[in-house]
Amino acid sequence: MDVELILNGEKVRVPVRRHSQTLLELLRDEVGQTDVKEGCGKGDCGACNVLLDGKAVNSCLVLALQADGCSVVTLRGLGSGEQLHPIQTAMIEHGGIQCGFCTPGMVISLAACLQENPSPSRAEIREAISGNLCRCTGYHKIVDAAESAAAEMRGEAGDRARARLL
Amino acid sequence: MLDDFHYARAQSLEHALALLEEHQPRARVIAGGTNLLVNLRGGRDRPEFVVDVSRLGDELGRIQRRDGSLEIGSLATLTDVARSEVLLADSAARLLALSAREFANPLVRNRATIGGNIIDGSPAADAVPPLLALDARLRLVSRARGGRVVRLADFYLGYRRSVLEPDELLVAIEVPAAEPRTGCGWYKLGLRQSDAISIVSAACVLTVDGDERCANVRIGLGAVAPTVVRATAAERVLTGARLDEPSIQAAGNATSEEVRPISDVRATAAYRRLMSGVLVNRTVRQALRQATGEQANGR
Repeated sequence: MDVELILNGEKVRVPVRRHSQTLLELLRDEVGQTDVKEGCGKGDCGACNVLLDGKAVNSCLVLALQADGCSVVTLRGLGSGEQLHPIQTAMIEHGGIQCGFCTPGMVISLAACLQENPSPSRAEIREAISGNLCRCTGYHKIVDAAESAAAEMRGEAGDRARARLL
Repeated sequence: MLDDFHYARAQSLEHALALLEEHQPRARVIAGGTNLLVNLRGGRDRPEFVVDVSRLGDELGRIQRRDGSLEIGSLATLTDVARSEVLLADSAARLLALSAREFANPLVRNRATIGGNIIDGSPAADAVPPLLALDARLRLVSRARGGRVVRLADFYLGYRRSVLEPDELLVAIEVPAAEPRTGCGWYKLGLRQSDAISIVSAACVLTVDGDERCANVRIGLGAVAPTVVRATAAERVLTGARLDEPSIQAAGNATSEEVRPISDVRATAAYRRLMSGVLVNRTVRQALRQATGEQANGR
């Protein structure tokens, strides 16, 4: 039994070990996609957040089999290494990361937010991350980073190259 | 790691019903999975067979207006409901869209379905007080007996128990279109502003007549009883009455007298009793403001 995913833009076929295997388990255990974190495994924390067909969802609450044929975008699909997404850059620059565990899910939620709403208010940003728990930062700097990234993505932040959107 | 189960993905409504008929009563339906997977994880449910209806959204996920009513497919997600222009344009049904904005959190809303929230049957289910206040009807279908319509008010038998048969699927929810001079109000009280289980929730639909009296009022209350209930004492106080400070206050007081909530980790019974009155007061005022003054549509 397997599923076909378009994982970060690439078509992959992944074996599913049990019907009850969640998308989170599949991504981490079968694909080695450890940029998706397990915080609680039951939809309370948002650390495992991915974009499933463009929508931010808790991957711990999706059966792997339900994701068959779907596009899945994880943090690395937005940016990594030399090519950081503007949200990632802004999170670093604004101190929106401490332990880093909530960060992948947080960035995914922010990416989904900015995809839909390129000029969110601080309240709208807070709403967008209201399913992502952070124990370290107190959220303010994450919201600062989101505002900054949004400006950057709108082309308002000077000479930096235009960010790749989803 | 969850205990395993047999699984089949329904290709159509007919297929889903055939699977439910074949595997009842040990089958469970999965749509968004936001309750089922949590229950499985917590060991509260161990189905032998899971019927996946999540791909039937085209057929069962639409929100549309027909003649004098609005129909919400059971597979509409809470995000769909929160953003539905069809619902927002109706001065009563917009109540459902407004309440959906505070449902859980955006990640859960993108998957959770309104049907799932109803069937899960929590007394704190946030879609249910609005639907009770809207006098919703549920369309249930089975392969063996076809379709039937059950009023939401008659659906629950007790704590997490309903009249749903093991081979039945909830396919749609229907609410009547709003009468003229109708407004609605919603208030969810939780321990935080998002991702909270309701301590008390209240949903009100109110219609005023030419004399600014209450022609009709329905109020749904969540988390104050084993099921979501109507605030019948408040409704009796208000129906036919002048909608002024004393009558609204009396309605709130009557609610506090009537409800029999429990104490639990989130709140004491005394606090819930007090708050149920406050929330009825607030939601009636919201509904009255909308019914008498402001535009019905818009945010």
